[in-house]
Amino acid sequence: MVLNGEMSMPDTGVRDDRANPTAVLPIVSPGGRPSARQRSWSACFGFWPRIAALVGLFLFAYFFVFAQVVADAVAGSRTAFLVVAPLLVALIAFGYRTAPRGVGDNESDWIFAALAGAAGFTAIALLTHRFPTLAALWRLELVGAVMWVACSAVIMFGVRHVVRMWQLWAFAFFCSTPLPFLMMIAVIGGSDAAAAALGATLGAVAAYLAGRATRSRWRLAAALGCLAVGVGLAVLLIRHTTLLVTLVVVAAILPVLVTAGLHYLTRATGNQQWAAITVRFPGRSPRSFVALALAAVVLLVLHPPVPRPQVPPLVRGDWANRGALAHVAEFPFITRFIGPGATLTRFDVPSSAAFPAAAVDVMTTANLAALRDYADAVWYPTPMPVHYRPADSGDGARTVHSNADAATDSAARDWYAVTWVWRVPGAYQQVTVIVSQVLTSDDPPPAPQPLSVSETIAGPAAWVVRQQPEYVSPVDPLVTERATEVVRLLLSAGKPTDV
Amino acid sequence: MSEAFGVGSLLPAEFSARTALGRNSLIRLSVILLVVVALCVALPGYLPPLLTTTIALLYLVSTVDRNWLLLMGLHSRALVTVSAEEALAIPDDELPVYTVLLPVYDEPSIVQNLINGVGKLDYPSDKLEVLLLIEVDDIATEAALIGLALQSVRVVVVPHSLPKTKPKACNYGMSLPDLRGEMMTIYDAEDIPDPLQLRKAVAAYRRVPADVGCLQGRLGYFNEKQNLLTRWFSLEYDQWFGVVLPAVEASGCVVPLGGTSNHIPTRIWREVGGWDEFNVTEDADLGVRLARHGYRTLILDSITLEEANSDVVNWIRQRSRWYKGYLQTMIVHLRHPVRLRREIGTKAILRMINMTGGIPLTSAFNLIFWFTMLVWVSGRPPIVNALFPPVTYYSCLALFLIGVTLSVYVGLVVVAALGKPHLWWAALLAPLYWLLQSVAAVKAIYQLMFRPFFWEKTVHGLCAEPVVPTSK
Repeated sequence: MVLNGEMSMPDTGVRDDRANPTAVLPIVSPGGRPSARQRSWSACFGFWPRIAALVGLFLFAYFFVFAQVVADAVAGSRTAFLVVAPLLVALIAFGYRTAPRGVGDNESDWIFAALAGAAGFTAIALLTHRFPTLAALWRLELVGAVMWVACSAVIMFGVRHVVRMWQLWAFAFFCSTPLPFLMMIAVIGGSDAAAAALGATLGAVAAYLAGRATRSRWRLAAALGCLAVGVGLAVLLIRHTTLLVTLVVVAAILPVLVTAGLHYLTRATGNQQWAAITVRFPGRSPRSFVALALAAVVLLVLHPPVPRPQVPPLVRGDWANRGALAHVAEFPFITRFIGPGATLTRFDVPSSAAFPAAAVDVMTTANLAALRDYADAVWYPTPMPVHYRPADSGDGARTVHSNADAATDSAARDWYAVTWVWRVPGAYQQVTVIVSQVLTSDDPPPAPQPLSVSETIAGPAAWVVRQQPEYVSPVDPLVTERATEVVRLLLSAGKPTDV
Repeated sequence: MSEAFGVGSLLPAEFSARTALGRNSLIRLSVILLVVVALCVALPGYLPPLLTTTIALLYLVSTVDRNWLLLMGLHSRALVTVSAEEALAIPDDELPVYTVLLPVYDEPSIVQNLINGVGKLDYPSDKLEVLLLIEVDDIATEAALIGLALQSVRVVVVPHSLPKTKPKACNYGMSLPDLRGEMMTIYDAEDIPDPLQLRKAVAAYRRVPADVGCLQGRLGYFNEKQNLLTRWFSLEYDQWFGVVLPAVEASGCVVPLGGTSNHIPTRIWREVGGWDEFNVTEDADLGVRLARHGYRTLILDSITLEEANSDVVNWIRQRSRWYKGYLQTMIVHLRHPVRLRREIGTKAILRMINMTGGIPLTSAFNLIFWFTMLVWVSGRPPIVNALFPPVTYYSCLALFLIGVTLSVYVGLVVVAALGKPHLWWAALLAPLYWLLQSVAAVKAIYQLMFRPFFWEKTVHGLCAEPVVPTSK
């Protein structure tokens, strides 16, 4: 489309307030006054009730999802920051407690919310269907939760206010999915203290963003103070308590206290960034709230509770020796992801004539929740996003393989893997039997590699953009037979004893 | 004789948007839609691809036509130009009495500007009849007028009646029994017209052919550099009034009028029935009716400066009203297509559709196509494959890759031709403007169905310092 040159005309005409949902904020347009009903509704429905309503809508629509997040955190997940992230988002919203100047319009707000919601939720649903493993690793449903809150906020506060809060949404999207947090923990060492310190840093960022009504130097000082105290507390507390409790203190309670202190100090000294304005948020009809409530019910239905995974079966601790597996290599990078004390060991499987090379990689940790944080990670190189599929055995094992038909460089080695989790005395293990798809070589299958930004986001995004044809390449029966043979060997060596 | 509506309306019911999309029409449309959906379900391999192909081809034709008009307009700037000397050379006693309508509603902050803008018109006061039209319940504007020097301005209080729209107020003003005007025009609340515009219009009418029924002044913005939105808006206006409308006129097609600065002999205005009080773009509608009565509209090279909408939400509201009015205009005039063809011809009908209802419809379809693209990129679902057989797919691909690039390029060419280099980055970012247009189109379609006569009020006075021009 080229242009839509249109004509101008004077804007006369009388508003029928009974039918008109438009709300023009008083400072701009004395003529666009909200109706008496909207005014009274707005008067009793100020900033905090609207925030409370948003929190309620989020918790209701994503009750089971958030309950899962909390349960994982209590169980020891390193994604515990997700528990306090909503609080930090609400805290940042505190910095935007005054309505923006400008023209408001209920219909436009609904259209923007509907368009953004339709596009966002459709994209999430389609990507989840197309890349189930990647979507699970990213927890895309949590991105949907942010979409839901943003769309609800458009209705509650108006699209102008929501766009003005772009820093809040950037923060929310960054914190909504666990992978960026986990990757950053890995970058800074992977210890629990690092995780807590990162949480404290994000809490300080939230405190800084929440203090936007205060002069820059004050809010910067407050944020830096929050950061210093938070990191110090994190290092101290993590020795004595869990990651979740530490994060609640340094990434929730502390930023809230700092923000409250800054707020009261600012009011006491009159050190605001700008003069107080008295514009009200746009009036909304009860029908709008009913519509939001109905949408929340739909989302609740679409996000039912996920059954908790069963406790892994207990096997003998010396299964590797019993299977005559030869220890080949250790991969210390795993501690940056799973946490201190975790190991990733490669065992060589005795070669078998006419079968391709195979190996067994074992991740061991005492923290099952941390292991499950990466349940959908693919630790092996692959030119395109690949998906875990339930193994035919139906015992919780999954298979995954690289696409041997995809165009790759000459150094690429395709592979096929079967993976499952079991328990040995004092630890949990994710065992991966990996078999090379190169039948003409005795070279071992590729070694596991640390997760990277290029593997988890840049590569898949480029893959989506390139719009490559998608198909699952067949795996040579020799490869799957080899994997099955090794799996049988390990199961026999472990002899799971159902406890 | 058909029944006429409203306090001052001369318009037969068949030309009114009062019944443009009534309940029965909505029911009929719903039934048709249901039948189409049912057929799509029954014939999934045939009808859906046929529909998407048809829509894509119509879209392609619409886009090509708009670009064609732009390029033609650049080559033949068929404006009626009157020099200041020529305008001032007409003796005062040869000037006709001019009626100037100034409809305002709830515009206390802009009334002063309005008086100052129109107050600077160079026209003998004894031949100037300025009607300031105020709704009876507009206390704020009335209060703002207290203490203002209102020489040559007659305040007309419009009594309460429905629909409460600008054309209703203007029709009321034009129905006053003691009106003397031989020529009439209309200005917006925030307008700053060229001081010699009335004289230029009179001078122009002396030399244009007798079948010219309207001279449309060019519209521009005094705050075009305020922000990106005003730059987009300004670029669009410059293209429309400076390039497209002259090209449309030169091709013998219908020129939709601008809302202000259209100069019409009063007898012609009465002959064509005045404004439709139920049409929220009564100006576009009047342009079509002028054409149906055999009158041409020419563009007068005299600029009226207005305030460009600098607020996105405000812009959407304003634009949604325009789009709703375009749809009303299209529906009203297509009631009797055979008769319309007899009156203005096939080419003019097609172009009229493309320049009225076609604009919001293509904007709405933009959303559907963009959404489809998002769906395809995200998930590659088979249904998209089925909807876009090769012909459709390549048409849409051409539209997207070539059309978007070409449109942006043409925008840049127009910027260069207009000598406004400060608008080049607005032309470059025009696709973002299309997104806003799509939102406005959705709102317009919704309102056409559920609140067809609601006049979406645009807030004026968001630009603090208008720059008052001088006549050249």
